[in-house]
Amino acid sequence: MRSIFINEWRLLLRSKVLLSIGLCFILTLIASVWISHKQVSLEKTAQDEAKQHLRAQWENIEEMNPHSAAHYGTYVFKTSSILSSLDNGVNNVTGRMIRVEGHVQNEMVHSEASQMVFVSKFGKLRASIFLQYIIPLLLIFLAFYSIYSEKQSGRLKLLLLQSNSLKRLLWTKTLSVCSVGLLLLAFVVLIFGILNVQSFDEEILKRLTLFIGAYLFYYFIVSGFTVYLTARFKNATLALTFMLGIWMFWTIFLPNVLMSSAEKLHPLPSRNKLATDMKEDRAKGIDGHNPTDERAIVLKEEVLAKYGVDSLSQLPINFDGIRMQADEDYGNQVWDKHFGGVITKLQLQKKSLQRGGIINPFISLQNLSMGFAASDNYHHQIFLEQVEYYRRKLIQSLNIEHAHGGSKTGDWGWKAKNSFFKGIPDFDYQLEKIKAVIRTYILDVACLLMWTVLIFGLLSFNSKKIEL
Amino acid sequence: MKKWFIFIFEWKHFIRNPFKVLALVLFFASAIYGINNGVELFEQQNQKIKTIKEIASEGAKEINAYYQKGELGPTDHPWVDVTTPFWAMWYTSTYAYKTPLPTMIYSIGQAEQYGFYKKLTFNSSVYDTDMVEEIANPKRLQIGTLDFSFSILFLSPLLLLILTYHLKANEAENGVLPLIQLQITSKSAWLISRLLFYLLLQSAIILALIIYGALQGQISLWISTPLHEVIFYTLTYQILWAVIYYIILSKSITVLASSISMTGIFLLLTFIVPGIIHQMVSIKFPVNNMLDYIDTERDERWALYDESDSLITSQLINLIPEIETSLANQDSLVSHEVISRSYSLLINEMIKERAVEIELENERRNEWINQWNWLNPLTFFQNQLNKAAGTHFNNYKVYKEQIQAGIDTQNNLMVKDIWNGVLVDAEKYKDYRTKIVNDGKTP
Repeated sequence: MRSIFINEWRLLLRSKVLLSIGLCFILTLIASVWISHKQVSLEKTAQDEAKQHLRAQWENIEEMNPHSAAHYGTYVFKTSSILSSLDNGVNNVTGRMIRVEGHVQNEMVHSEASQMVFVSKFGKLRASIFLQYIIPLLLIFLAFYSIYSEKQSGRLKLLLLQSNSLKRLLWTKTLSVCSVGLLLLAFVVLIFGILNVQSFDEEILKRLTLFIGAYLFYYFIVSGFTVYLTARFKNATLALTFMLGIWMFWTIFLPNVLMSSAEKLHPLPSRNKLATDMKEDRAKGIDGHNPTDERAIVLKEEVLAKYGVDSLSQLPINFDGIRMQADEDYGNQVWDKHFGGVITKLQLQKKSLQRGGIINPFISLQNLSMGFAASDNYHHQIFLEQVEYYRRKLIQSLNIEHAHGGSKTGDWGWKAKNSFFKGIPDFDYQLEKIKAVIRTYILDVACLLMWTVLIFGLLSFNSKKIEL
Repeated sequence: MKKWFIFIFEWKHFIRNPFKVLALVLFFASAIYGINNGVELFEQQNQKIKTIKEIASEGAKEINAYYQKGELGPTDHPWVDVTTPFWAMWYTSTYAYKTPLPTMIYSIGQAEQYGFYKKLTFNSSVYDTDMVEEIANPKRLQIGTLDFSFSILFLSPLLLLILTYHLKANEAENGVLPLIQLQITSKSAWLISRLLFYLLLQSAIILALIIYGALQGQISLWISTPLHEVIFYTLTYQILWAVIYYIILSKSITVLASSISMTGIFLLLTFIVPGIIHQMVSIKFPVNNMLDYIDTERDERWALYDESDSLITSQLINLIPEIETSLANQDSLVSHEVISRSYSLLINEMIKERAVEIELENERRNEWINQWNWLNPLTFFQNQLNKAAGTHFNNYKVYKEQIQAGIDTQNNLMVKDIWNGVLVDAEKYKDYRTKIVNDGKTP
């Protein structure tokens, strides 16, 4: 087995054409990792500058009424993980920033895709394009060639006569082709490691290991399947046509169809419908800007009773802040109800797509790749969740200051000091722990393992059926 | 050997090869699926626009009722007075729409990256959050919808590859090429004829699919220029790939070499080159974080509130000279309410100035992308199909311009009438709506 494996590599290295193609490929791969790193670094620098600029504006508020500050608001930027230079995931189509302010939960805006004409369907030249689309195709050709050349030259029968079983031969061929994928993957990881060594921590290392693992499993599936089919088909070129069809079906056709079907199966509401429903529900609650609102009057009575006074002017606090917070609390409930529904639908769509991994291991690979690179929709939703949590805390702090900072009801001219605004912490995005990511993607892991076992079975137990 | 004989030979070869037939069936199915996706989106958008128009009309009816009954506004909003231009304009309930072209069914393009309806208010801007795409799964947006253009741009070159990768090389490998050479006048003509058979077969199927789409979208086959553009670019794209594959096939002597080279060029032109251009444009023109816009929209807006009334008045006169002779300006002291209700006009102007810079930057970005079209045919053809389908970046730029025109109209009408102390009645309210809707109409 070892000698066949070494011989496969010798043959690969001996062919000047294959060697030069391989070298060009490796150079392009290295260039893509380096360019991606450069682009992500540039993006991060620009984003850091923008964040500092906006934070400075917030911290430089000399004096402002807290409720005016809630309307003034702040902005939060979506920070990409360093791993997104390997797989950009959904980052290209989601917005870049979100405005955080009182009364309203804004959406992310200014996506990259909306700032230019159509450029590419599969995104920027990230390593993931090579790892997901091109390397598997290369492995298909290599695996095909590996068996085809042996068949054409009649060496296959010779090898079997030399006390090699077909099972062992197919396994060795598969592993040798797979090792090419491993080598290319190693180049990607090595260059990525060199460029990002300063940013590495335990979490990134764990994610990177799992990222590599997912690709290795997929490469094994593709290599093993092609080796098996090429050996099995009497007309080997038909096997190549079949595998090219499979590649096209798995990587281009099915992800598209399955995702569209998942969205049709669990449709999301339109923006207008959601806004109308939320407006209706919101109208049932307290209106923070309307002192004559019935619910506001009830709240006023409660507060007056609590402080044991008869009128708002006798209150030691500013009731406007209390009313504003009550409005916020109600608005948050409405948002939780409606956007909770949207999030549930998104989760159902995700589950449907994940099930697609049963017929298409590429879907599982793509999900895992984005998930481990923290550039998927799951991480995007976590980011939005953290932003909303921050927004609620920020607005609550402003309303508390409005109510208890020393002003009286109706005193809209009262202003909080600069120290108060400076004291409000900036938004700090926390990357989800890998354990939670694995739990989310357990179905994809299972599908990839199922395919691995299937190929394992084909190579180990089905090789006897092959007629040469 | 006559051409028709070669065609018959290829036809027989084709129908005897189950994988080729399967590949063609798959392509056909995906294109039909793509067209149906396009039809669905086209119908959805039209339906949505119809619903929004009804909502807008209902909203206007509600306000009209106040005028008829002599009421000032909703009872739970006692501060509202719809007889003032400010509140009448607040409640105009007007929207701008980007009505989809029927050819959208062929190319969804950038339709899912932008909204297609927007509520117009005097405080609106073309960068509001409701300008972004409809609520959608980002993962689906990233994968993209399988539309007809996807089948054409990505799947049709693959289909042609599967149909033709063996041409000549198979005969060369089997050692029958010298024998064939004895029967033909020219090896190139023989190869071209064989390739032409598959090109014609594929083109005929694509043409049939386009006609199917036209029937689905009720597009006239004879008078629709956008449809003719779709046909032209689609067929030209097929010819481009046929030429590329011909060059490869004429040079290759083994099936493996042909298939590797053809797949390599496919990957190069559909994945790698567009990916490189995309990556490079992100480096050369990093994504706009819209800081200037934010500064204008927030800090400059707030700074305006601190300006003196006289300065605001002079700025307003610069924009609308009639204000100088208006009723409100005749008073020695202009009411602050008149001033504060005119802020939106100045803010709109400031945002427009920023928008010019932002759009210029987008323009420079697009020019840079377009200058690589000679090396990047996929992007060129996709954008041409998007243009024909009305889903190109520029179509949305025009939509934004229409929205801006609607916002401008609102502000100009409102501020002029506020300064002239106009009392709004049902007729005036109707006039407001008509003017805004006309200016904010999709061309």
